[in-house]
Amino acid sequence: MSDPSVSALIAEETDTGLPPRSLWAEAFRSLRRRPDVILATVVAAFFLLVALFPFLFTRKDPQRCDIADARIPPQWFGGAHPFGTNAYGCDVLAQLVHATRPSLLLAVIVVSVSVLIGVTLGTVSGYYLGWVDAVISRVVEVFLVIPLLLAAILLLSLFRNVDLGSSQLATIAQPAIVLTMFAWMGYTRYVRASVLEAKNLDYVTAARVLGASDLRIMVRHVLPNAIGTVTALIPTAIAAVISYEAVLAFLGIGVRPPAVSWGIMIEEGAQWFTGGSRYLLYFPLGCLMATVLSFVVIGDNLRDALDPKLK
Amino acid sequence: MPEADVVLEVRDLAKHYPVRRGVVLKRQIGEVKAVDGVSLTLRKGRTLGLVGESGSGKSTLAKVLVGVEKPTRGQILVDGRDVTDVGRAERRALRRTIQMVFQDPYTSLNPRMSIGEIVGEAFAIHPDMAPAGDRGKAVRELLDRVGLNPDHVHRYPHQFSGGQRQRIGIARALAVRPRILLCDEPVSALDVSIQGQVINLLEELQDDLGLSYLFIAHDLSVVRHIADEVAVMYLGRVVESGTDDEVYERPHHPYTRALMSAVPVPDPTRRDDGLEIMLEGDVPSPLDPPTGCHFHTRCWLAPLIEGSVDAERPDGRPVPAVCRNDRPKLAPQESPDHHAACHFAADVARR
Repeated sequence: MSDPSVSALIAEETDTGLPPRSLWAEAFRSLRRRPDVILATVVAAFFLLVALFPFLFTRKDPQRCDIADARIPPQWFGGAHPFGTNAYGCDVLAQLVHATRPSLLLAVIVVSVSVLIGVTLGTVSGYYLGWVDAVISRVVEVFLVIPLLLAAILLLSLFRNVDLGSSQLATIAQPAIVLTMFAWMGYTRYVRASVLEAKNLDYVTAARVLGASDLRIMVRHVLPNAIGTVTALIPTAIAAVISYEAVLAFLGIGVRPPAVSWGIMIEEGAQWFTGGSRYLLYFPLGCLMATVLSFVVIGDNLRDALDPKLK
Repeated sequence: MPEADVVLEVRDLAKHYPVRRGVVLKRQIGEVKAVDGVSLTLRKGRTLGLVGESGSGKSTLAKVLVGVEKPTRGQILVDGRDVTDVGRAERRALRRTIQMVFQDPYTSLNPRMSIGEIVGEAFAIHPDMAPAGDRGKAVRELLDRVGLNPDHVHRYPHQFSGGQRQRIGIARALAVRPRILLCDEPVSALDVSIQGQVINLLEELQDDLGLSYLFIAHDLSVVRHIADEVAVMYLGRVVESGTDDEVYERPHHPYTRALMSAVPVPDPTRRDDGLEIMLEGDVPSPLDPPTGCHFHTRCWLAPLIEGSVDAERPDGRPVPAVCRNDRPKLAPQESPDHHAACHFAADVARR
């Protein structure tokens, strides 16, 4: 078109530009340089592997217990029961391995469902404001003031006689529903705040001037820029759900036997702590703490890495 | 009155924002009169410059005109047809007539979309503008049109400079082939050297495509360069309008006169020629604008009017009662197209 020198100038300017690097690539680069993040990722990946392929780590059935073999202390790699057996003669290693899946599955389900609810409600509430926002915000506040543990104990004991079957999902369904009910509010608030900030930006106005529909504006323009803060919360949230599951199981209202979870094992092991079999508590507690800690470390660092204000 | 070549006419347009207080029972405690009775006329292929200080309501006016905000009062006529209160289908069609270029090239482009996606979004929203197979080609043509390399469609906004981003914003606005372009301070965020390029691009596009511009700016020299007609806004009202020569050379409103005297003269020998009029104080709050003439609290002329001891303004200087009590009308001056809203417009020119 115009003056060739101007075009040349423009071409020159762009061609010397830096290669594209997104916020995520930048975050990944800074995370890769931190030893604590690498260690935490290795630990988290290990437990994910255990949850996905338990048979790689033990060949014993955690449900086949022989009372005659009760409370054998850890034999390590020499004997038939490396981590010993519990009060009923079940193999501790087998239980530990098979308890990983319900714990992690519950956490993943609870976090993904509550993120989905939070993102949807937060977007709608921040975008439309008015009475939609008033209703959603008040509901969020109501759920925020109810103490989670009290509500969980109440709800789970009310419905403890309801039998959903004995499949893997059925055993974790009740704690999953209750924990989800009290986990979505944080995401709703975060997303609502980001949407409020994003929806008045010029490029959103530009899309509106072009005639874009509300749905298009929300999905294409507002959400992609609002979702970053939420993703950084996910690892920490997974850690929180894992530990809450343990609390509920300890109280006898979480994942139901015959399924095993780390919480159930902690509860059983605690009874023998002073009776000479401390390892029954140490093993599940160690696994729980290692997993929770690694997810918290990943979450904290991810949040810092994705926060442009900390750069 | 509607002439054949008038593409956009605004009659007594107002936009008031209610100010509410209270959590449950919201009481309205006042309103911000961002735009308060503005009338403008934009002709085909011409440029109307709109100048005024920050907070004078220029950007709000633009938002009302593109249909992002609803006017409180008044009429907007496009090609002589009232489009103030149209339905969805008509509003959609109207979006192809009026488009907008934004001030800040950094916030007006979605950082997560490539240039091709940003410019091509118009075709996704208005699928009949370009057949699905031709959209890529149409986007490349648009980029070429605004002086960008068409091969850069896959790049992201952060890889471009401010001037280039503004070109992308112009390409996006042109995608729906509008006839009217609202430019909301399109160059004020750019370096001076880049400003010229973008202004030249806008002028070229106007010549080639027959566009009409409503050009909002606070830079008087830029407006003088590009505009055929100029309207000056103060606190939500137009205080003076006319051709650029009339307004710049023979201002008939004391506010315009003060604005013009503030334009720096790039010639040290002529620096002391014109007297520079200093306005005191800030623009009053649009929440509680002054009575009568909005400008009387800062006017340099009012205290000089003889025999005007009948009223006093906050700084203790006398003003004529008529300035305090009556809102001046935009009245024709020496030529019928030159309007000024001042009770003493004739005195402005004499001093």
